[in-house]
Amino acid sequence: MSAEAPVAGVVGAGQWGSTLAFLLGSSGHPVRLWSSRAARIAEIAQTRRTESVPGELPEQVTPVAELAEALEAEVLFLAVPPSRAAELVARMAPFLRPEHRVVHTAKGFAADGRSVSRIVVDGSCVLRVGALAGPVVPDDLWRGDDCAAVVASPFGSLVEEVCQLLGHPRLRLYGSMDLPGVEVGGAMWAPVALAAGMIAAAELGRGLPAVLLTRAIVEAGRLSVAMGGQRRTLSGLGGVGDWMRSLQDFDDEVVRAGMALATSSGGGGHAEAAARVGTLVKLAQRMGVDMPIVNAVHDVIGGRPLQEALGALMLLPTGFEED
Amino acid sequence: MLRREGIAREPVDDEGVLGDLVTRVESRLQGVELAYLLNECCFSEEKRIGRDAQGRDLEQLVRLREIRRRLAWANDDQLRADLRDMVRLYVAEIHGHFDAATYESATRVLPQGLALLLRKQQLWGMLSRTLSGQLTLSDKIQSRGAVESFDKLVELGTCVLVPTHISNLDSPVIGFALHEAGLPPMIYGAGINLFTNWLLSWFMDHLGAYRIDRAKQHGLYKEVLKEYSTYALERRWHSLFFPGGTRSRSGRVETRLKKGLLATGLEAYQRNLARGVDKARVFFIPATINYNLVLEAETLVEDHLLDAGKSRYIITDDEFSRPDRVLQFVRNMLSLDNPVEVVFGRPLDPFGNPVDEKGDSLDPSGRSFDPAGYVMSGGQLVSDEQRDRFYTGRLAEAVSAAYDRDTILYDTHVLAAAMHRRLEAHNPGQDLFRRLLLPLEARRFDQREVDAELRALLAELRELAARQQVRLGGSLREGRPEDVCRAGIEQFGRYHNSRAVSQEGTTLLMDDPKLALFYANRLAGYPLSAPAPVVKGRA
Repeated sequence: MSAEAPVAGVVGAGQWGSTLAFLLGSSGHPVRLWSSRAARIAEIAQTRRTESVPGELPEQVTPVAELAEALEAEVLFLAVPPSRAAELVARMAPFLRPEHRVVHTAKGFAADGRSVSRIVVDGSCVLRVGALAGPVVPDDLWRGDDCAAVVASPFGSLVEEVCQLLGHPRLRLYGSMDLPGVEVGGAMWAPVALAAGMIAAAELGRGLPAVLLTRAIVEAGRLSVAMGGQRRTLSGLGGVGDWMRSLQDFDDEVVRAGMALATSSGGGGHAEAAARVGTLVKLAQRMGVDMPIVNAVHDVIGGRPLQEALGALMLLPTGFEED
Repeated sequence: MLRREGIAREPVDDEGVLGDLVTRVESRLQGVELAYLLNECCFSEEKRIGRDAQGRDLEQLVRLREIRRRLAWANDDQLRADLRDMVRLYVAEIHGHFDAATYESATRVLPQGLALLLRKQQLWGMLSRTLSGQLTLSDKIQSRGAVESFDKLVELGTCVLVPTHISNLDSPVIGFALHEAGLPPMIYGAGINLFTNWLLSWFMDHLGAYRIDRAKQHGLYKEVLKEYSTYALERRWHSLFFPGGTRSRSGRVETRLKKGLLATGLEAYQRNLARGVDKARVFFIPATINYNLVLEAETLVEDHLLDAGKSRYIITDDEFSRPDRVLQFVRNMLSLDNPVEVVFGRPLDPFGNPVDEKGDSLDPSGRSFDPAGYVMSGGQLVSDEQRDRFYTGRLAEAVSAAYDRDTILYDTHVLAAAMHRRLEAHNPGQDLFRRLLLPLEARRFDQREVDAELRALLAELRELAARQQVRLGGSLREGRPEDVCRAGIEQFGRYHNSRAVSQEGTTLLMDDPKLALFYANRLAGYPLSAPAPVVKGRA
């Protein structure tokens, strides 16, 4: 283990976790990387590589086998899916201190409708939380593509700190104080990506993707407001910026799952994305928010023919656009 | 008997306090555009004092006009001198009425004094004649809740008591409750309107109150007030704020809390940490003060309904300003079966986390931790106003949640709510204001119908109480709907000029729907089902 005091800790050594460790380490920050998979940590320690990412991790990245060692850093990145967040936060909680700042990369809510930041606050003494979101995937960064993302937190100082830590010539980072809005934007990504795949595969017309995006802004905006966020956040990188990418990203496995759903008759699709859509449907019902596109995608996952679901959507009464 | 020394752990040198505070306010205002601040102060004060100023007001007006006239060409030194003058004036005004030594001795005699005021002949002949032979005050003002935790925390740091506020009697009631619980006295900011009642003004003066003039709405005065509060907390003067700001006009439990004074707790804590002082922590103790009947209910609800709460922010002509009404109310309070109950909630840190008896903050799983890390980064204290606003917002939410949990509902509240729910059910689609204007005939309900509504309400409220989301008093814990109805009607008949609810045979009447609304509103904010629709063919 590196004797140097870590500036950041990364929890989760999947694609996002390893990429964040790479970004931090490349900027010269001592960083500790932990994974629940001991074999992966051993592999990184030995080869500086992992199957999750295409490149080598810099020397500043120290893989650690003990979770507590990663948590010695004050700034923590939590790179795990929402479905695993509660279990992981429970393991982390005894080592967390009020000094900690925790930023997550999860797109979507846990099955109980809580965001990952909420899970952190509910399960530990940590209050300073945030999220990294936007139209960027790890592959972009490894390829050296120019890209942008948003760091959201109700703590302006945390936004600044994370932007500084992750600073990279190829990555522009913007800040937002609207954490609930950005988290809703991330949660909306799965239904939009699935719908984008369906529209492309079924060749439903050139105008429909634009309708999908603009109406998704309105739907997600309603949920954002209900959860204490703002509508306008959904027009930013963490909202429509993120979703727009899915209209062209046919390599994305969730978009491809949407394409498969358009042509199959038995529903199904990408299990994790399907679960996130289901969670969003339940959350919207609980909050009394109308989200017809999300419901339609959910119906198609459940086996309803795409044309029928789309037909039902088109028959819904319209009103003023911003309502 | 007062077990502890009170607020003055060190001699208070008034000149020293004044000088300290002036320096601190100046430092607080560093970076602020002084000409703008002084202009706002002068403009606001000239408007408040008005054209008919006399005596000291006139002197003040002349002084303000002088300051304003030279603002345009004043250099920085002149602006600073003017600012210092104004700050000194306000600090003297706020602190000047507060004498720690007098307060110390007054708090020692407070309980006896209050008892005399309310019971014995030696002090107020008029009162004693009316009240002689009544029960003692300690039977009628009862404390419950986290008294032991509170008791321990006063030794470990500075305590800030933050109660609900619905009556001007809250201050003496809580002062008495603190004494009876063996807790130390607390200082608090009292509106100058509280001193208009000759009967109680002496006690207000000696209950540790420093005077706040709520009519002064400009930024400079607010900054001085915040600095005063921070200073007091740093000196370990246990303090009391009413975070609702003013009495609840609607009768609802407060939800929107003013964060200015709450924020001074965090500020004092950080300054204590920076100075490395012993017992640096600041603890907030939410409390609810619960009455069956509220002294000023009629005026408060009228004000609420007129939506004049803002323009008449300071009510000077309510029941509290009339000794006969106070007297009548206190007499009723002493003769009622149910006491005024003060519930001390679970203590909180300035970040909204619960605190244990050792003064440690607790995470949601009950693990204890030192909260200093919330204001630190890399082992250093970091000042961050935006961060602190978030923390104070979280504290306000935690206090508000404690208010909901620790509010005690009584028969009067639930009976009034049942009557209003029937009125709503009979008049679907009509808004509250139209319903309030309905004739008496529309406000008569069959006893069986009201009993059914009460039964449904009681079932839901008992469920909430079982989940510790509210507390129930009087007949509400175990009584039948008829018991609640009887107790409520009996209590409504005891004090107010008009009756909120009365009974004629098997018919219940909502005589004064506004007054009933005030009591019914205590249930607003709790998750209750809509009233049952009217069944056709029944009354």
